[in-house]
Amino acid sequence: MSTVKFTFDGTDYRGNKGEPLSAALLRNGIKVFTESSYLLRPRGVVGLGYEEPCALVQIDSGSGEPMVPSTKIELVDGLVVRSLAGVGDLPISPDKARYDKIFKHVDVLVIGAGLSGIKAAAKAAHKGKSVIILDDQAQVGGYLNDKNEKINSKLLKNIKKNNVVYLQRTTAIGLYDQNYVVAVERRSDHLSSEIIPNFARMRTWHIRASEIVLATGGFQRVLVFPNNDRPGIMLSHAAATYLHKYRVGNFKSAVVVTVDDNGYQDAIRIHKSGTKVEAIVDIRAKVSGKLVKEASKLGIEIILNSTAVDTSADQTGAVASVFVAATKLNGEVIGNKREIKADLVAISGGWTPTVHLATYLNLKPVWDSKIAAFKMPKLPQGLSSTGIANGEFDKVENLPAKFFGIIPDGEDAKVSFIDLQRDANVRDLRRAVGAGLTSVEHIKRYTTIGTAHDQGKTSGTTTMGLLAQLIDKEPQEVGTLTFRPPYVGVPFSALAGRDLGILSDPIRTTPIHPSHLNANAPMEDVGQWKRPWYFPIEKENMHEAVLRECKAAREGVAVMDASTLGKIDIQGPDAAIFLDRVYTNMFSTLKVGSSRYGLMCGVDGMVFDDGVTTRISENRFLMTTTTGGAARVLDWLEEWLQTEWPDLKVFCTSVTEHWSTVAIVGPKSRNLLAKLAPKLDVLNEAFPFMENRFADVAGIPARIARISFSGELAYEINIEAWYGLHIWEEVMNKGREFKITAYGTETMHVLRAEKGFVIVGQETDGTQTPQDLGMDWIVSKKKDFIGKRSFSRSDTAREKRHQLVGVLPLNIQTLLPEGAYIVNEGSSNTSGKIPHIGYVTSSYHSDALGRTFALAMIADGRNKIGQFAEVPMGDKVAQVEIVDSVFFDKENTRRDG
Amino acid sequence: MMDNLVQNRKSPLNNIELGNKNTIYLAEKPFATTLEIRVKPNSSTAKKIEKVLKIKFPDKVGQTFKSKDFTVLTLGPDWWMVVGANLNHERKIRAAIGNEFASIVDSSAQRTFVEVSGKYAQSVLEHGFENNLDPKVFKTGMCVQGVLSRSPVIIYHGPVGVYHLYVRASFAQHLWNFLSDAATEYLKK
Repeated sequence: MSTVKFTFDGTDYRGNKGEPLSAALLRNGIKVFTESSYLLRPRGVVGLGYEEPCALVQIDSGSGEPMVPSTKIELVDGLVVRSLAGVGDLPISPDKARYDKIFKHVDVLVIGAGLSGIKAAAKAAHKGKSVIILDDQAQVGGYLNDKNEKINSKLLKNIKKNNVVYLQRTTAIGLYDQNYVVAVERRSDHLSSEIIPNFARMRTWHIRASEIVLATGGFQRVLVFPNNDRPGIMLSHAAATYLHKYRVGNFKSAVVVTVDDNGYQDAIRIHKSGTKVEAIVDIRAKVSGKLVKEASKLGIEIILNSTAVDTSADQTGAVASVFVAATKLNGEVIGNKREIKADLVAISGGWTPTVHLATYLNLKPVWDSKIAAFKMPKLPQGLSSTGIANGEFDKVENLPAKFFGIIPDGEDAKVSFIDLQRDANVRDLRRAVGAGLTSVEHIKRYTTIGTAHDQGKTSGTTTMGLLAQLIDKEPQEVGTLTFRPPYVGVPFSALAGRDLGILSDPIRTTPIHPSHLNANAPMEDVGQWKRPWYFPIEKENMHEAVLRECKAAREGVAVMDASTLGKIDIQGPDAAIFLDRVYTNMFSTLKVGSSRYGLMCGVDGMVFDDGVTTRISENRFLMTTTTGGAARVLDWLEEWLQTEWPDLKVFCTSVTEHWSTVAIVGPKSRNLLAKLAPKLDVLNEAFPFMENRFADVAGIPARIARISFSGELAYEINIEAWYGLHIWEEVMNKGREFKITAYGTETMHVLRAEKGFVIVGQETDGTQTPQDLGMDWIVSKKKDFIGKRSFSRSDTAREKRHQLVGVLPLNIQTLLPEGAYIVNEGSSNTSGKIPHIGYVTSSYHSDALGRTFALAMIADGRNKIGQFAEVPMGDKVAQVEIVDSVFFDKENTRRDG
Repeated sequence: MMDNLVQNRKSPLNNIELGNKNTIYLAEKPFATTLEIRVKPNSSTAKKIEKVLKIKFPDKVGQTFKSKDFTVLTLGPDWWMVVGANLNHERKIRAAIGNEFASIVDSSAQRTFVEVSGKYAQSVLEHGFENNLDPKVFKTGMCVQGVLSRSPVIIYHGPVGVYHLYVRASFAQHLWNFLSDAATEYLKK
């Protein structure tokens, strides 16, 4: 065993590598670890593991971590910690350590590597099942390991097999339906006090198991009596382990206060470690057997029918003596107090099976009077428990007593602690009962017992026992406490794992993206896609760049990457009928080789998605969707095909990323296309609007569609995505003579808004009908389609719904904020409640109009065209005119170039 | 013409590779051609397609069929992806089935193909994939569709411990970022 250096509250100490920090502190003579959160009473270590209610520290070395029980920190060189009185600090600087997660499926998951867990694992492994064993300890053996007892090596061999994964220092923090366990493995804190680069400090295991065996062991309980919280008063199993296993030798004399035979075992271990045990104080009336004999033989006085009724402290606040007195099992003190000097008071208040994981499934533990504790309830299929967790305690010579402590009145009640972390005491419990509370769930909330970091691991059963005693019921009659995951505190970073920064959400890009990056185009997020927003030249700002890009599209030729549009290949003899049903307009009349714009509604008649669909052949269509709507639309189509219309012979296949789309826009786009596809007849008559042609573009087979989202002459070149970047570069090269200009999403928005074209998600929010958008022309009166029925609902059919209109600020430089409310003319100056008549959906500067303009949804908007209104903008008010939603080229003269 | 095509095509990950076959090996193996076929299972149309391609459509989702030319992955009850088939095969199928009900879609550029192999391949995938990859369950020759680090993927278990990931092109860079990050500890072993 090597010696290491560590720092506690600014002072350097030495300890043994790997031992619990709490052991090293005790050996260094530190009994008072900290003070309590509320009453500021001196406190020391009580336990040995996660049950520890008091001895919390803040780790300042490495990643830093608040509120870690010192009992669960393995000593390592360079460790820096400070004591905490209940409240820790989240480290402010980002945690540089790595955390990750892993998903596993396994036949058998065993939680706990004590003797019972190892037995269960060995049995499963022997049968050839895949096994994972989780254990929160550093060594196999659990409770036996604390006693320096070894597990049979034959058993251990079984867990070294290939089909077994044994995870040390791994705590199951949650158990969920369908045998799903989340566990956190602490992988590096025992290796180094510093961050180990590129090595996960913690790993979160997500495990799904056919069978789960809960071998989680148990915790010892505290006993309640006045001044039971002084440093030096510990659980007897912890005390014996510190003294015997970790050779903490600096206690002079001890008293063991017990309700069971474990107290005798622990007393013997303490005594044999060199600390004289003055007495075993046992509440039981009669005990016999080997342990009792052995204790007597060692000269330990055995005081029966008695328990601790008070303690005294030395000048540091640590325990100096314990007062004992004859006491009844109901907590009534009947004898005279007798003082026994002791700087260690070891409490054996009985053991509680660790049932937390099962209770996460809303299973209630059941009281077992034989072990005087709550144990695992009947477990559902696939889940079982074994060992101490299952209430299978070591065979005893004398049954444990059902005794939780004494319940004093007055001043004594205030210092008789139940939950040491919360400083909750008998007075709190009495007040709760006095207020009429009888359920332990209510008591918990009234007193805060069990609400600290440890969720009352040592105090839960005690509370139930004392409450039962107070209201004269049995423990099973007062209900059980509800524990909730996580079982122990876990840093958020462990749960996040690698889902940070760029890994937190996919960034989707098109094949042309590298060129956009080269052009230094700022990106706009469109769902998960990154799309170029605008393409600034030199020091241009967005406003300048967008005006220039718009001008190019209206006067020359401009190009945009439209590859993100969703694309669905729809095939089958009923494809046309299917499209007639999902779109508001007709598609069965569409000619092969032609395209048509379509609008989709939900069953509520509200606009859901839109896009251009092309008839590739009689039974084959290529649908395009909005960029953000691709997956949603495919789901929608599949839902209707699979659930409502399984008789339709139609199949859908997503091809969004199979195709790259380059849109060339503007009066000169035809000339450019002629250069790119020399064999294609590009004349207006030969290649009319809304038709498609297949031709090689720059040597690559392409489908060219004459589609326009700007009102200008425009083409969309669709090629297999492998060639997307190549085609883009060719378009840029061949377009140089036409001063081709790349444009981004902002210019696209301006160009379409000038034409009054809506964008689903910009003008709409799921509450607009096609009619609201002035698109009655696209709603077929002849056929049935999804949403049609809803158009006759009174609210959908009523007059004066919000309708799409244009809005022009009277000051041509005023840019209205998108989302701004619109109010009636003159009402901005009035006081009180001002009703709004609508809101701005899109707002831009327009190069073509030489001014700003906006689209808006206004109540009864179409009848208000020509009227004036106001848009409050902070402390200013913009006067606006309500106009038609088409601002530019109302006669569609530009479409053909 | 072919030269022009080959010269000018670009894969989502530029043939990137990382690691070594002993520990963990990650590599894009781009430009696999794929046809996605949807047809009523065991129908006469399905049988005609099987005959053209000299393949057998497996019955169950997750099963695969391998021939000299093709690997057929079953993605749904009526949905198969034929790796290795291209537009020429599509033409032949269409000639054989005429107007019968089936969907034949060339989806070659829709996804790219990333190989994950080496001793720790399974572990690397398990850092982000929730489905069961235990080789007892996900045997060699099986495929599964799922989400790996929020990216839709099809995983085909080729030879033992060699996984072929078919990932949508737009997610390829994200998937690569995830895989190369997940490989961090294993690369050092």
